[in-house]
Amino acid sequence: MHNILAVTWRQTTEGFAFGAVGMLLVAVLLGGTQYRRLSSGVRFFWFYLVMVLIIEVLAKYHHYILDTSNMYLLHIYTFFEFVLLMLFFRETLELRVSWRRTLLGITFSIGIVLVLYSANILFWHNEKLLPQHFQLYSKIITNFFILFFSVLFFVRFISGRIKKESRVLFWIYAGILTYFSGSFVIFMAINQLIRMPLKESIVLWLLNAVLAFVFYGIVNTAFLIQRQNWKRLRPG
Amino acid sequence: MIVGVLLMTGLGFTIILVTKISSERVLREQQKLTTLQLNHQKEILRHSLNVQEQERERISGELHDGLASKLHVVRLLLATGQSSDPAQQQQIKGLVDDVLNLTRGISRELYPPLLEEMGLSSALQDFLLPLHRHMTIEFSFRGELTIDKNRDVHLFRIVQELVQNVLKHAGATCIKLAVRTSVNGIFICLADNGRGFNLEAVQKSAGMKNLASRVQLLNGKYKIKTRPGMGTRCLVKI
Repeated sequence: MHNILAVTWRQTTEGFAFGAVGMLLVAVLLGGTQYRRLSSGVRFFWFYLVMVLIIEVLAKYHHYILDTSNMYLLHIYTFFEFVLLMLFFRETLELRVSWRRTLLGITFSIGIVLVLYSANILFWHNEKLLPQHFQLYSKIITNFFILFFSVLFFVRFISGRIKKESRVLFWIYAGILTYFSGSFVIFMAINQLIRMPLKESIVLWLLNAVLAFVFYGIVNTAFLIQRQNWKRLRPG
Repeated sequence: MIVGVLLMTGLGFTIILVTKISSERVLREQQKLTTLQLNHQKEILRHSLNVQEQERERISGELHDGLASKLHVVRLLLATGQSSDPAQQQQIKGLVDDVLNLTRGISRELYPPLLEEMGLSSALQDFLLPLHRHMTIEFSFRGELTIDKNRDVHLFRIVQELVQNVLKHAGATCIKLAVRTSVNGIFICLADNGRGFNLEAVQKSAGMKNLASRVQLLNGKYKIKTRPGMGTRCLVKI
């Protein structure tokens, strides 16, 4: 009985995970078909979605076809997620950070990642990349910043400081806040979750999949609003 | 852990929900404010059209009763054919002088000629000059004001409206008019020693609406301080 329940949980989780990828694909297509009409900020967000889709496909390929660990992808994912979302925040929240400083920050982050990866391979060997040695504290830090900026958006939205394409941005930020507020707790414990038996951690992975599904669903709403706005404003 | 995830997601949802509700409330209030402003502008427009019609009616009356009737008499006198009679000549001359004075008066009321040539200060002095016969008038003008036809005509009309109100309703024996210009704007202060009035009772009168619309047109503010039996003081800041 317990095993049947575990299988059902697993299937439900996989169902939501694949559903989320489907939603993500729709979001990428919806954003891609109106790419020229997207503002520079939303374009960065679209690039983020494309990056997530690529990582998701690679992760599924590793898991289902190669049957190897795909955890290393999470490091790449975390890095690009942070950079692209920060660029999105920079543009949409009109943060007064010059392009020079932004590029310096990105270069510095790339440098840090490369140094840590090299150090890991050179001094702690490849086996440190195996799940039992897996750690992802960087994800907690980046998630904290993402949460901070998405809350900042809503504070600015209430005070009326967000004027441009406010409805589209509202829904994108609503998606970000919904997903990252829940996943923040999950990723806070990811180092332990990785080492736990799947039947014990499956509910959390299910929650993560549901949150991702909701996130991309809300993003699709934002892109549909963008399309409607354009149709309404189009002459003739 | 599960409770933590659900709590954090709930918190996120709450932030989104609160933002949505409050932004919609702000939007509704903004729409309400816009509607109010539109209604107010409509009211001002309606009022200014009414004032324009009243003015036309008044000019028409003056042309008909004053000019036309006098010109009829001149025509009649000329038609009788005794133009060599010195008494009749004198009468015709007097009537023509009256017609000329009336025409000048109407012209001056329509647009004070000094306003464009000499500026607001001279136009106001010219406007107040005939009133000296009826009451004590103290007029002071401090500061420099470059001639701006559009602004000056509104300022002139504001003072004209205020003075006419004093003449019509206040029963005052003294008027003090002070115009001051500085980097902070133009200040007009008109005070009288008349009977004063209940401000709330006349808030919707045509004169007050006219004053309000002109002040608003110049992005200014005005304030009236009065009490029955205590005179009136009106301050305008542009």
